[in-house]
Amino acid sequence: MDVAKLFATTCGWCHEGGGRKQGRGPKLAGTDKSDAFMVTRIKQGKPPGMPAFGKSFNDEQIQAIISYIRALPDTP
Amino acid sequence: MTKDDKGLSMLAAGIVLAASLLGGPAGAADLNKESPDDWLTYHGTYRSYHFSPLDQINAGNVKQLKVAWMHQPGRSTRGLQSMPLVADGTLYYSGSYSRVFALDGATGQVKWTYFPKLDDELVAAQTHSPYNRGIALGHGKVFVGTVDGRLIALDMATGKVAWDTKLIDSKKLTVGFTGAPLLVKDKVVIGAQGGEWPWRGPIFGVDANTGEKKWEFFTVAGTEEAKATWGGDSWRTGGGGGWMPGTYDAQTNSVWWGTGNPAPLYDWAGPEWKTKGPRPGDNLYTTSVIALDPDTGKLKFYHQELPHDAWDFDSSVGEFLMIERDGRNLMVHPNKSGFVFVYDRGNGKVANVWPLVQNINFVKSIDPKTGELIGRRDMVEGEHKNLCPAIAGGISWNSGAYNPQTGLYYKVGQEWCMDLKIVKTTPILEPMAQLNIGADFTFTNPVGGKAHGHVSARDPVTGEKKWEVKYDEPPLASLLSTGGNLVFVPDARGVLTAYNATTGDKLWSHNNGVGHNGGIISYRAGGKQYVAVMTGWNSLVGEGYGALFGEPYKSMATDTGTLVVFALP
Repeated sequence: MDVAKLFATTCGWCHEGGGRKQGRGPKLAGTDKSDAFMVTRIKQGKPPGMPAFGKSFNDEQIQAIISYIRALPDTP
Repeated sequence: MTKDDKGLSMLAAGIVLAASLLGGPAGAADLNKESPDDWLTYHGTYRSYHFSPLDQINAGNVKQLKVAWMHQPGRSTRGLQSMPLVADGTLYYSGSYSRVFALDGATGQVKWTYFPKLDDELVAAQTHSPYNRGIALGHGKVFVGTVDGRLIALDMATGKVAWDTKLIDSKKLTVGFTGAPLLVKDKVVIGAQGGEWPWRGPIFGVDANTGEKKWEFFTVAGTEEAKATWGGDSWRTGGGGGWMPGTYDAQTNSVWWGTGNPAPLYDWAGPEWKTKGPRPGDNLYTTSVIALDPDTGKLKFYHQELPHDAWDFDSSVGEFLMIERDGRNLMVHPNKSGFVFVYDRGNGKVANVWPLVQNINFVKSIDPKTGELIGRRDMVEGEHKNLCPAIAGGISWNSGAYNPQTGLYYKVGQEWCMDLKIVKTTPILEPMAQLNIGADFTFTNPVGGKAHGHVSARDPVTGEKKWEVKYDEPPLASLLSTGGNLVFVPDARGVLTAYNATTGDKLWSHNNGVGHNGGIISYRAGGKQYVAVMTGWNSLVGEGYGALFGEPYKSMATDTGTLVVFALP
């Protein structure tokens, strides 16, 4: 799975710059949230902006998204 | 009065037409009569002016305007984005989750409410949700779409469900209906969400009396001719849709509707888009203006405003202003790109194209005689700087206003750009469809300036500017003009301002306490004129204001919204 492609398909619409900048959704690079928090947030969403992807993405995809976020360079 | 129009007589004709379509007894109300006091359909009348001829509130006394009453609908996730309607002194409106309210137009007293039971799990998985942008009235009913794919008719007098028709498998396609329906004779016409969603974005014609689906027109590959403009199987996931209501031209018996963009939004084919990339070809009928027969749903004529749209500058803006000029019947339609298209109303041929905004570089220009795009900026995989306008467009989905007395068209323009990185994506269809964007992007300021907005007053046919007011952030609500020589602008910060329609001079303002992102109308009840405006913040465009503009948007409430109604003391 190419997670950067997955991110640009669906996530980058709100998390600008591939997750490096704040947009409609928060900047993800350098997040201090735990993996468990992010798994829950991706699965359950947070109204009104963050959809629940629990039925759309499997655990492997969600873990890949979290790894992608962790690898983002945290630059201003 | 200008040569543009035969003025109010033409407007009144539109009102008569609209009113006659409401037909028959409507509970306690008799709607089958001419009444400039009402606001019967999303765009005011089929002429789509967002203009009220009422002049009790006017440039001379608007300074005295006060809040008359308010209504709090509750659960206003993403704010109130809809357009209120008024018939015979009763105000009807919809809120988030397709909740519908009927209120006494003079006092705000609740007559009835309707809260549909939605598929909550589906709603939680949607991005373009749970807002609702409006309703339609007629045949004694109130019509409202839902984000879980239904069209519902309520008894106008009681709010009881008359019928409830499932039109879309939203559990699989993820999208449903957020836009207002349009009543045309005995049909309720409503367009599905689409655009970046990998499907075929249909528009439906439904029997107003029974709820039976009578026709369905696919905005992606809806004809064999159109299917040939999609390489391979790309038509199966082409996007499209028609998520804002258009209008009806009785002279040609045509429903005019603007369609959504193709998916993915951004296309790595670059200049070779006719034969390569994820959706080779023109991609009909995306980013197009189409004219449908309301009785059959058959296509009568069309113009694709942006062939092979590679920028998400769709034609979904629902405004279609009917203007008469020099013996010609014209239709004026703004495109998200920031260009305004003017058509011959008889056949959809381009009569003129003019730019509303300054920051445009996705094309060098558009030929005003043919509509041909000149100097397209077709991008390949990888990084690109300073694409203008940004994805939110030079024009957003809310409507401007045309005043037949001044001959001026009042419209919000948006000045912003973005950097992007185009990525080769593939549509995700299982287990439920996902957005297909095809890029990572970041909003930027235009070169040499700051992102901003403006409201300008222009000739609707030539675009010639009479006056302009700059806004630090683009207003994202509809505008209203009135017979009192007024233009009302509900802005993003929450301030509602009245301007002199002729000069642009500021006459009055009131802070509603949260941003505006919906409709505004004027009507008369009990002999008194009212102005009703929706408040509440956080449409998909407004959601980005915190990152772009900072406060007050970073901390602006996104779960509130109020109907605020003004009158003279």
